[in-house]
Amino acid sequence: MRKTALSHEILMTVDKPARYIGGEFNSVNKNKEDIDIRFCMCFPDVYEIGMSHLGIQILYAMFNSFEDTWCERVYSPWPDLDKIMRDKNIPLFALESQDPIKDFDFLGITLQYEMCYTNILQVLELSQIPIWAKDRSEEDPIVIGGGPCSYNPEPIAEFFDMFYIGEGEVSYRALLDLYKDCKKKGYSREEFLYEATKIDGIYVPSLIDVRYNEDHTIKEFIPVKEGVNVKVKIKATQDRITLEIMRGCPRGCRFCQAGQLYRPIRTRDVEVLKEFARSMIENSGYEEINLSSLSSSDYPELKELILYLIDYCNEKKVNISLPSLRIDAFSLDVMGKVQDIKKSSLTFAPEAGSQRMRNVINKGLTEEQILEGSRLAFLGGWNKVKLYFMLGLPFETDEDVVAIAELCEKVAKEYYETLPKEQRKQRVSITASTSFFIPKPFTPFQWASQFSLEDFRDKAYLTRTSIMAQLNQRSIKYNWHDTDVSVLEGVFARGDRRLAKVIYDAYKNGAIYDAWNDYFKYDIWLKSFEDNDIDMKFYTVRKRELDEIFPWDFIDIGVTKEYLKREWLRAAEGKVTENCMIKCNGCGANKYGAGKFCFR
Amino acid sequence: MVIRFKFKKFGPVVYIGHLDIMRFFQKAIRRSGIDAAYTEGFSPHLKLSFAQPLSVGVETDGDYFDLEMNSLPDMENIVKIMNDQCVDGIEVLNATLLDDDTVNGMSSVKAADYIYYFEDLSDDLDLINRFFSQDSFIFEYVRKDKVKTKDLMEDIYEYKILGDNEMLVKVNASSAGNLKADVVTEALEKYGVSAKCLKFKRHDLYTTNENNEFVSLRDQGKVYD
Repeated sequence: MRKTALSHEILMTVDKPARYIGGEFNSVNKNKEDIDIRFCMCFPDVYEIGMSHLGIQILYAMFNSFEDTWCERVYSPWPDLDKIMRDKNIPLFALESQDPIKDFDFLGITLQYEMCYTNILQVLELSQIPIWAKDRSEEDPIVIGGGPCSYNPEPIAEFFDMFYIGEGEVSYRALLDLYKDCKKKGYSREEFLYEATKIDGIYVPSLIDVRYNEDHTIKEFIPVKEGVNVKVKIKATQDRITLEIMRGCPRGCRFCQAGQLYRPIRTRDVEVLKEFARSMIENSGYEEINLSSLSSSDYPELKELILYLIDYCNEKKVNISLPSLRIDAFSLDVMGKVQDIKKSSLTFAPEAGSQRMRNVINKGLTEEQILEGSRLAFLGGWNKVKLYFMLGLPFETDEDVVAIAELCEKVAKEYYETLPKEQRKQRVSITASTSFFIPKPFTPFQWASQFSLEDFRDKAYLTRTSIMAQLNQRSIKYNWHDTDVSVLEGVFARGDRRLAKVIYDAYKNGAIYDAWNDYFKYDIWLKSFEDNDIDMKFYTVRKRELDEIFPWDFIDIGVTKEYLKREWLRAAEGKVTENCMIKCNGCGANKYGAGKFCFR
Repeated sequence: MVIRFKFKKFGPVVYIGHLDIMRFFQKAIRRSGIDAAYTEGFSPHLKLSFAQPLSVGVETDGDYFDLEMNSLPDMENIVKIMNDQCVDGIEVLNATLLDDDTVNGMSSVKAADYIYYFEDLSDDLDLINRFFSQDSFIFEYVRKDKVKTKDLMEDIYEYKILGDNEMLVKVNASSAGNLKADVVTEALEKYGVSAKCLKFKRHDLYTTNENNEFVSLRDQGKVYD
């Protein structure tokens, strides 16, 4: 029988002990004697959050398909168990084997959002692995980071032995082969790390030195050893094993990092997707299936796929959770078929209130489209509309903020104009949500100044008062996001190596689970910045020059800095750039030769 | 057509709560491909009901769920069909094709057997016999920050010493008067029994027949092992 790393007494004391025992259907157990490499995959948040993440599922399946590798999982222990583990000196363990992670060959940590950084330190410390990479010995696992935040790994660079930058399917096999080879030859940890830099997408922070100018901007990247390339190159994949219908997005919204990172756009064959859907439903027993992509409406065979799935899922009693779709006659018809329209609401993401602002961010959604979509929906029986916006976009003026309220009002008005009184069963309900814009690396807005905390508050206040001033204000509900977290996210998004100490100190002073409102303690962070004499504004509101070297510039994602710069300048002029399925804009990603649209 | 499945749960999976066990069986049933019945509407659900939730951390040899079917599966192999979809620590023991007039498990449960494991009972046998022979034992205990008072003898139906370190107790498990298994050990301790209870597990669930006799939930139709 399987063992548990924690005793019965501990499991009965902690909240939701099922988080720590593993043994799920389709989880993989292997015989330790039959494998060469033990890999532990970590999502640094609580089990329930981490388990729903598609990326880890893809990599878990890939690693375990290798005969010589056993990939297991670990998540952040909740604070109740965290305390017990520290008191009793219990090392953090992997779910499958329940063995201590410190005995593994690799610990891979996925970096999905900046606010998980303190949880990484928690995982390392509870695993009894030295927090700083420089303090690790031959016995410690190689700690690898990957995922979206690895595209600017600098703030956390010194906690990692290496980063795998890019899509996981490409180079992991090569890395594992190299590891086995180095072990056989008796190479040291340092020698392995050096050899690994020769693999595309692998970045070893200890082998690249960063020199700063006096004003703290970056002067240059210098290889520590001969032969280390200071440009880390990434390759793109074609092969996937999930119901991800498409990778990449042709729209080129200027605020969106994923839209630049996952270029070129690659679509899956519709027949293959049907086959995957069938086997996933049969092998998992899940009650619901959903389609994953950045912009499902741009998938060319979407209609065929969805109609097929509706039939098949109906027969199998499986629900379909529709991806966000462009609202038109087809999507409304489909939505009417798969969900109860009385309960469901319609979602638009205009991201900005005014057309001028939408041109700046290159969001190709016009007011006419929103109103026409709303009209169709109201006629179809919907009366709830959700609208998502961002506040604090580059070049935003008060008029642009007020336009958010005006757009909500226009949608409400559309309801009353579309439906005659006797057909209105309920009042229209509009929910407007705003989040604060955070400039991200590898987007045209990487040069943008982020607005200050005070500006954020003023903007939210202006949005609220303008909504209150509308005729139909009683039908409009307004939500906005916390401001403190947005500032900190902004710091880490474009941060450099000087921040490692800030993160370390904040963690030592009790910061943990920062992505959870109940746990986020802004005061700890403020103190940590102060103690280290670092001004957050350097990373957020500071104006960046066009020729500044950014901390992430040593990574080559395919899309060129020249292209991003061009887009940044076009944004300033309010010029739109076309969908790249229609016209190639020369971003540079076509050098990968992947995806049929990139050759047009 | 309703099939009642009896299952056991042991090892690390005892830490999985009732809701997750329900989800586990929902998925297992879907994977197995048997022709179960679903509710109508936008989000169809299996017509599945569990006889009695079990506390987190407790082992069981006798828990049940009822599943309504559209058509009957191969009943001779149904236990294997289900077990092919189960994980380590969850095992289907048998399936009962319920007689037509059977009330569903949840509302018909009247009693539960628990087996308690002790280090050594031999020195405490007299005391234990005396405890269970009382007509009344008013016991005050705290659960979820609430003080409760109960006459335990009303809810304890039967006890049996199975050996030097095992004891079986049949308690009220009806929706009106369910007696939690750990209350019994707490009461014994209060009464002066010094033998330490190491753990307990649920052994079986019962309903009553027209003569008011206890009948295992398993025996309400044709049983397939």
